[in-house]
Amino acid sequence: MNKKIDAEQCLDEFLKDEFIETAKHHSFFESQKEDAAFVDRIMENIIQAETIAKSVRTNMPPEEKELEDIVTPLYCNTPENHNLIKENKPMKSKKVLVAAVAAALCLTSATCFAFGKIASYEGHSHWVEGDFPTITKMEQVLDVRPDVVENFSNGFKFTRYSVGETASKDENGAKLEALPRLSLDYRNEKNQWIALSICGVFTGQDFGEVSGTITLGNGESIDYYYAKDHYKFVPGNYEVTAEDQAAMDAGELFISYGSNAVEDCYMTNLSWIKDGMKYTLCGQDLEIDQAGMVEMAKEVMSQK
Amino acid sequence: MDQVTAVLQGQKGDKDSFRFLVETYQSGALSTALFLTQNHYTAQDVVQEAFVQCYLHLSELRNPAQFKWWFYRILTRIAWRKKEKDGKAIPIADIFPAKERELDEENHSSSAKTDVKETIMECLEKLDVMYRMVLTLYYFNDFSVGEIARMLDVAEGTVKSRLYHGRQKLKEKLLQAPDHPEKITNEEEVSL
Repeated sequence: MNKKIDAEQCLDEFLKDEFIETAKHHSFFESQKEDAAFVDRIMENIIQAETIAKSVRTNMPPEEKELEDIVTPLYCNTPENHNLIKENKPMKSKKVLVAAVAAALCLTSATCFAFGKIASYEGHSHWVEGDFPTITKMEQVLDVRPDVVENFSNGFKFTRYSVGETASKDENGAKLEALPRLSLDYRNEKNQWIALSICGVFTGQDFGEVSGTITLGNGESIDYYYAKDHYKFVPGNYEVTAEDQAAMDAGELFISYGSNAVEDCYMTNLSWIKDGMKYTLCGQDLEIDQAGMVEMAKEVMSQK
Repeated sequence: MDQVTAVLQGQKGDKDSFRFLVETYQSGALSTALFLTQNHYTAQDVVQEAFVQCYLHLSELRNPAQFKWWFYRILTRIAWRKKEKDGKAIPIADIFPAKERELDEENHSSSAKTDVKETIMECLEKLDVMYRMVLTLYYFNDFSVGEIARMLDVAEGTVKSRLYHGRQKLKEKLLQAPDHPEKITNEEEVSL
């Protein structure tokens, strides 16, 4: 055992030395040496870029400036909303559902709130009806080429997509970081929907506990996070049962008062991080178990 | 001038201070970009764009002491994007004609050392950029697994996995090299 560890450390140290030596002495790296003009070129580029950036800001059309004012928040995953759900205070079903979707897209919402300076997420998006977006289009939105599928082998087919932005905010509501988001909507013959949401990872974002690991054909291992949350919308006179209470205590059930009748909603989501992007498969009242979701994730992961 | 002061001054728009940061990091950044892209022109583009983006967004850096990590995060993302756009890297063999490489090898006093460098470069050239990125950041830039994970926005387990597979490939190649160093010759002892 010790021999193995020694050999591993030995190879580690050897590679550290050799990478540095390679950069210092390999002919491939020689053109960079003594190139003082390179620094000047970088500084010239910086001055040009700064000038262009100032010019663009000054000449920005008014309609672009107004965009932020007209967008409708889609993901209002605030601690206040979450507490309303937890404290069983009346809340409109639609609002709760939005919070539920937001919580699902946020992987493990409880830890998101507790971690770092991020207190909430807020975003906007608009749906685009029509053909499956081209890879170039998706790359323009996300700045990277994502893994996507048009149809899943279990019958879910692409229907529409949305582009938008999600921002992390601190406890005072100040925007910390904003990242572009692309969501693809799929439906099956039973009209069940599932969304594949793709967004970057926020600084300080926590993902909770890993649910499992998916190994791809090329040997790459990718951790995934799976959750199935039960949301129950109930009338104001609804009395919480012992079973409800146990599920709530276990963090498996969220009850919201204010609907006309008892409505159950199960939000399932499976997320993973690949090549710097967070992918989330999220669906409502799906007839797919964890293994089925993993298979769908695999189909997406294997696209590149 | 220290790095933190340079960042703070740079955030106020002081270009001389930012130039200090460029001078400090450009050499290492270019080597990193060369490891990642395997192409001189692309590497220079990556480094220039990384510094430009860095300058334009410097005010967003909340902890000046983390400049190095932040800068390399930007650089690796740009390198990744350029790699995706440019497609397959140009093989070293196409950049340096065989004759030139032979002469270069002859000029080196230690053929064993040259072989190791050649092996490392050839192996990196063949590796997928995601493995190359992790190996370079870990072995050349000396970032920890945790720092790389945060930089690439992947789980630490993913970094370890990529490091493992990349290192396995390097190990195999190095063991096949005719003049590989003694300390990694005993394959039975090397268990990563």
